[in-house]
Amino acid sequence: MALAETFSRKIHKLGIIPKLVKFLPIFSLLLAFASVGWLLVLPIEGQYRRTYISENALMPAQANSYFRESEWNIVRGYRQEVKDFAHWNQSARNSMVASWLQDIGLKTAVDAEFGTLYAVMNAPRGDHTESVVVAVPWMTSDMQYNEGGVALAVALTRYFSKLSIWSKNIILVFPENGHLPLRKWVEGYHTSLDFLTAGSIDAAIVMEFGGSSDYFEFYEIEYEGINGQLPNLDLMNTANLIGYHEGLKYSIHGTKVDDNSYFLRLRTLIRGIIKLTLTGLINPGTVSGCESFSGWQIQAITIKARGTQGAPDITQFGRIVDSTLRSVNNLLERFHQSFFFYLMLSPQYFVSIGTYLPSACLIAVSFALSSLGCVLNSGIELDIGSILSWFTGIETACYVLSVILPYAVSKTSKASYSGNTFSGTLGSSSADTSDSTTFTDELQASTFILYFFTLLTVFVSVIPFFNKTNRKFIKLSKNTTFSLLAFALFYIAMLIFALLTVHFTLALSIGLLALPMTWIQPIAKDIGQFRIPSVGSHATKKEDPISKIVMFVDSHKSTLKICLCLFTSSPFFIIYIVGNYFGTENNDGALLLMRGLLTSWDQLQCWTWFVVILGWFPAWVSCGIVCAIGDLEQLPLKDEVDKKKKNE
Amino acid sequence: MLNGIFVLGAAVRLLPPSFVPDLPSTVSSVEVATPFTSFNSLQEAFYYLQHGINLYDGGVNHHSPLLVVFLNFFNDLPYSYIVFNVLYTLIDLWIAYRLIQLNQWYFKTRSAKVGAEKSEKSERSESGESKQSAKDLTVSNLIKSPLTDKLIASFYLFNPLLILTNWSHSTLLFTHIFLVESIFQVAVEHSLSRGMLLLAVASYLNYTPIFMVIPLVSLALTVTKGDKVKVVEGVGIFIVSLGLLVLASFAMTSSWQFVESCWITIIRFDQISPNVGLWWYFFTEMFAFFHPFFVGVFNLYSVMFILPITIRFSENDSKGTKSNYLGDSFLACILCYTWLIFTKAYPTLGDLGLVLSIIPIFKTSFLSYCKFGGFTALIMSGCLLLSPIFYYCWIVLGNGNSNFFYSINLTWGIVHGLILMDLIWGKLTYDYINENGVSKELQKKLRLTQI
Amino acid sequence: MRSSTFFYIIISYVLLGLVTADEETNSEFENSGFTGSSTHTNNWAVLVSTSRFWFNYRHMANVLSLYRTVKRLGIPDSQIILMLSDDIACNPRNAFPGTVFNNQDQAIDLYGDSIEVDYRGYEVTVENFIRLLTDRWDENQPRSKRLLTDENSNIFIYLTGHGGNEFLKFQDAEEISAYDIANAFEQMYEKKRYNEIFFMIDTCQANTMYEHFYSPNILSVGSSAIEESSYSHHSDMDIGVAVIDRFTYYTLEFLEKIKKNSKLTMDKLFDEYTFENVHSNPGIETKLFNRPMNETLLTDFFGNVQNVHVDEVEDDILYVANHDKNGILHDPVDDATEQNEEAYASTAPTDRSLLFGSADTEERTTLTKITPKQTKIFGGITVLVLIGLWFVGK
Repeated sequence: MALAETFSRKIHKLGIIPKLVKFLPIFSLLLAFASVGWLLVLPIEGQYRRTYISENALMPAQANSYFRESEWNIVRGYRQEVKDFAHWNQSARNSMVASWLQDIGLKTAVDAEFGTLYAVMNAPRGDHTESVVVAVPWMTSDMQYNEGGVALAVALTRYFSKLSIWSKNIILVFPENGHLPLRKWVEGYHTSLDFLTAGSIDAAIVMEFGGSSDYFEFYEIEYEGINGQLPNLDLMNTANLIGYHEGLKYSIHGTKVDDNSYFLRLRTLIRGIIKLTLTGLINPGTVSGCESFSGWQIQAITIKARGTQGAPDITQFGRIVDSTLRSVNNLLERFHQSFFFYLMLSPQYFVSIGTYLPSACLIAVSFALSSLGCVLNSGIELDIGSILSWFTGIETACYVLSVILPYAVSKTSKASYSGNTFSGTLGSSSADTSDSTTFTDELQASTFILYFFTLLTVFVSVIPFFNKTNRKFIKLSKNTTFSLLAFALFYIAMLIFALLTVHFTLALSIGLLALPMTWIQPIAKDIGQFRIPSVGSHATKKEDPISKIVMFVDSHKSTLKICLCLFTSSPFFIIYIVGNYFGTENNDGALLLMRGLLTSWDQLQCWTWFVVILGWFPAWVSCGIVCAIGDLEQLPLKDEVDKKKKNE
Repeated sequence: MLNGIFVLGAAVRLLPPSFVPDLPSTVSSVEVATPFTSFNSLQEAFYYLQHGINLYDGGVNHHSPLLVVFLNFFNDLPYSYIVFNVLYTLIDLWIAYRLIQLNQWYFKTRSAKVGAEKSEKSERSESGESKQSAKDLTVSNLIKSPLTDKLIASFYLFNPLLILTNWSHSTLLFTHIFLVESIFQVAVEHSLSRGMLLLAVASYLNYTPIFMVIPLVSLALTVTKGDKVKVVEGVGIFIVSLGLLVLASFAMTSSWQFVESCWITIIRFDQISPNVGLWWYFFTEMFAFFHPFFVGVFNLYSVMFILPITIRFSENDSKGTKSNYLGDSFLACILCYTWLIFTKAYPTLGDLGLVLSIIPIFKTSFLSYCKFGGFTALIMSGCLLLSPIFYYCWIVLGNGNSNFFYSINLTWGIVHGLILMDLIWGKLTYDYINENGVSKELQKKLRLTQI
Repeated sequence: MRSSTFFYIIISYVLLGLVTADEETNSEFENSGFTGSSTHTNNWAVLVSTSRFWFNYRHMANVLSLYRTVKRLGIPDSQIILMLSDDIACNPRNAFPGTVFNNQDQAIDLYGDSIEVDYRGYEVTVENFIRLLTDRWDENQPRSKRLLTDENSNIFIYLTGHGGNEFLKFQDAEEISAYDIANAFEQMYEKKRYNEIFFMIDTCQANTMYEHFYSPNILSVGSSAIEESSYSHHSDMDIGVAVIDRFTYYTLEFLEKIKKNSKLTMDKLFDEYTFENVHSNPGIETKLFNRPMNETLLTDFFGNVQNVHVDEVEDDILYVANHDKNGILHDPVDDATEQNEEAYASTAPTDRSLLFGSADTEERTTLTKITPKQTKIFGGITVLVLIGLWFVGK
């Protein structure tokens, strides 16, 4: 304590603190850079770790799988049948599969809401309290008919029923696709589907083997859940270790197991961050099936077969699923070893939470420092009363928006939920077509909302040009202006802070994308200094239009900068940009993302929309108001005044 | 305006739970309600009572028999949930009213004391004319104008922690009203016997206030300027009332099981449930053979500092070495209570909420010398933000674990530590300035260090 | 005709063996200073696997393998205490229900016909193990679950599980320390519960477990030195788990060659414990053991080849037991029952139920039955009294 006291007295004596305060914006910027730098450092050799199996009980690849050549014929047989009824409607397809499963000895049932077929294979000697799910969507996430997957699932079940090793029940689910029907089945299983249950679900594997090829090249694993949730790393490692022992190639985010260079690792990292942030929001694009299991303490991964011309055959794909299930079956407790918070750099390398967390922490501190800077450097008194009244008003308005907009979208698209457009290609049943019309309705409503708010963004961003110093009408006082600005930045800092562990990638993304907000106050410092000479020069050269523009831009440089800051940090602008980046060939990515945001709470219990509209947007609106009608001219700081006085 | 604040405070408490009857159970998170204060388990107890089942069968109910029986009268009324809303609202309004009175009392006694001291000092220091002016300067700084009644009421009625506690219908409120009322009776009404009776009820309901008997008797001594006989009298009344309550409870349930369920369980940390306190983790996550040691140490830790705090801060200095106005028995009471809720077995947010709403009363004396307010508020908001998130990660999502949640509990403990430290340091600074007659200009440059 | 000759030859060999054995014992009694061969008269074995769970299959297989071996070499089930911490034979994950194998060839079902598990599942605890060694039980402990040894017993103790530096984990919750076992052995020595102990342990850092022994006549071997792991030998790819540990595997491999009447000595077994075999550094501790290894027969511990030792009791034990100091005959059993009956008769009939405990425990926690209405009335009165006191208090 004594040392700390001595230290603090030294600091006080030397007057370091006022000097540091002046550099707060620079510190803030440096921290933001450091945050990005931290991410860039992670893929450097030595910073990441190799994956390993942490749970002893799993024992992956320690048992032979006999799902081999003899079963291949059975897979082929089923696949021929599955191929034949590709154009049947859902219930016909399901009843066919159900009859096969019943022949094998399984109990089957249908989830009424989406007509999802599911079947339970009870473990002959187990205690029937736990289960493992194998989900086989009829339509893969790449919009292919999941022929191989369905046939494989039935053949595997036939094979499983002959083994006497199961301690957990096995549930097979056949949803129309991996998005809403599967999500609703998972929800139903835990709430309403009482007639056929099999205990709590420990793990789930979504199996995708589109097409009718006997061979594939490699398999891809997808693992991101909604709301930033990830399956236990042990599950993914188990599948990958088994693949390794089978001599298969596998990949994550397009990075194969053998690819190993700094840039590939960085690419995987960045793709992983973007994917986790957007999971479930853009369909098609960020939906892989496993995210449907999020929120119920179920570890889920999607295994996709890629390519049709490789050496590995379809039974090898089946063996991956078989051996992974057998490992999960070996578990005595729920998955709890290993990591729940991690970022993958390649199928074999990862960084855990302790290593990557500082990156978002730095961003949060960066916002907090610039918030502090807003208060200390603008020479104001913190006006808590006006902050509370203004911000409560904005927040209330945003809350109303957050409820009304999704409601409006669901209203315009009639009562029923949408599946997705492409389920229509499967058959021509009336349900499918109504789904696709719902989808287009939702899309239209989202289009309207997106364009409205993007225009609003542009509008708000331009207003600062008309924000004259001498205007008396609707003008915030200097105290209110900077208090509100400081609070908006502080609010973002707290938002990042709160999301840090629970949804790291969203916290980081918002932190980085909203960063321009922190530059408003330092930029605004220049406003007063530039404007005064500009008036004089403006008067002398009136004639030349080009030089007029140049002069205007020159004189309004900082205003322009503020406009840009506002514009680029607006959530709706970002939605537009990000959506289009992920756009499909129809260039409708932004609309799909907007639609996803608006419908994701109702459909998936994904709360990203609320974080955006109640966290990010109110802060942005506050900044917008400050720039539009605030008094941004700042008083020179005390010591500067003193200096001037001395000079005089 | 004051009426307006009371009406608004009442509306905030009355309307939401009346329109959303599920609200009490919805807000009864681990942070807000423990098994010892939860309204849910109280309702379970009502059911037991109505069906002639032993109140403490099954280990669900930990409420005192008298409380269960008393509240059951309200439960039997039609629209009982509205009745409860009204009851809880009235309790909070009552506490707020008492705090206003305590605030006025505190200002009055402090200024009276300083006035007496001032004249005494000026008499003493007539010889030293040179120091006279400086002294006077200081004395005028000694007492600042108190916060208005409106503000004191607002600090209580719009304290989010207390609103949450009220909405959850936590029975902690009953402890609070008896505790505040007992302080009020002792301090303002100078009625030791009533104060002790009420404190006995508070202790009977929740065990922890039992230790408040020490600072409260000391407060009574200060207020009434009584002698040591008062100590015996106060403690005697307290023990007799508590004994009476215990015997009545025994008569009601015809068994001693309530002692086990209501008190021994708290003392032995038998009810394993996470809360915002410091200790639950030791009993859920550590080896069972350490438990007796933990039980001993934690209970001792809780009691140990009560007497020292009381002696150091109360006004009764038999040797007369301290200047009279340096002591502050009311502060001693609040410090003791803060310490108790810091170290208690099953704390909730409402515990700290009450202390936070009482602290503004000290604005009259030393509060302006407390420096950590903003820092503490920051940490506190961080805790309040992260605590439910980490609990959610641990219990619902299963991807966090108890360490996440407990780290926030520890930070919440740091908040208590900061508040205690800040109050004590503020008071010591205040005392130093007054005793040494430091002028206003010098105060700005004054930097004190503890050696 | 041929068969009878063969039979005759066998008989004569057996007789010859008996005679030579007899000669040995005689010579041993004569020179009591040097004990080249053991003086024990009975053999016991305590075989313990301490870890639970399916993935620890190999520990159960280890211990069952040794169970099979000592039984094959002649120790009867009544003198084997088998502590088996989990039931893997009936685990739903077992692809071959009801069996335990210790080799991927699945030649021997260790869980075959006559398995007597004395302690199983959660009965395998540190407390039970120590109680077993020191024989401190309450009077109801069945004889089959006790180690009824005396000063002439040779005990083979085998432990396997997950160990660390000076500790061995029991189940998933507790552990025994090296000092606990050392002290238990000392108690056994003081209570004359053994002649010699052969302590064998197959865990990680196993050698640390015997380093603190200080009682005489203990021979110890461990599978691995401090900071070393013990490794499993191989997995059975059909069962899907490792089935045996290396140290136990090579012990067994050697013991499989042994017959009941083998004259092989300990040093031959210890020669098997090489780093190449075990992949760790096995430890052999002989300093407490006062016979040379090359004269200590394996069957002194693994088998049941016994020396008959005739007690030379001077006093007639029966006489001492049945007569009091004055030499009057009495029956101790009768005495006890008489006293009990007296005590029983003296209690009043109503109190008898108290002796046996009330059937209704509910009754005993409450003095009288009290109705909710009474409770409420009492409560109301108390509240009124409090309010009264409030007014009096002023």
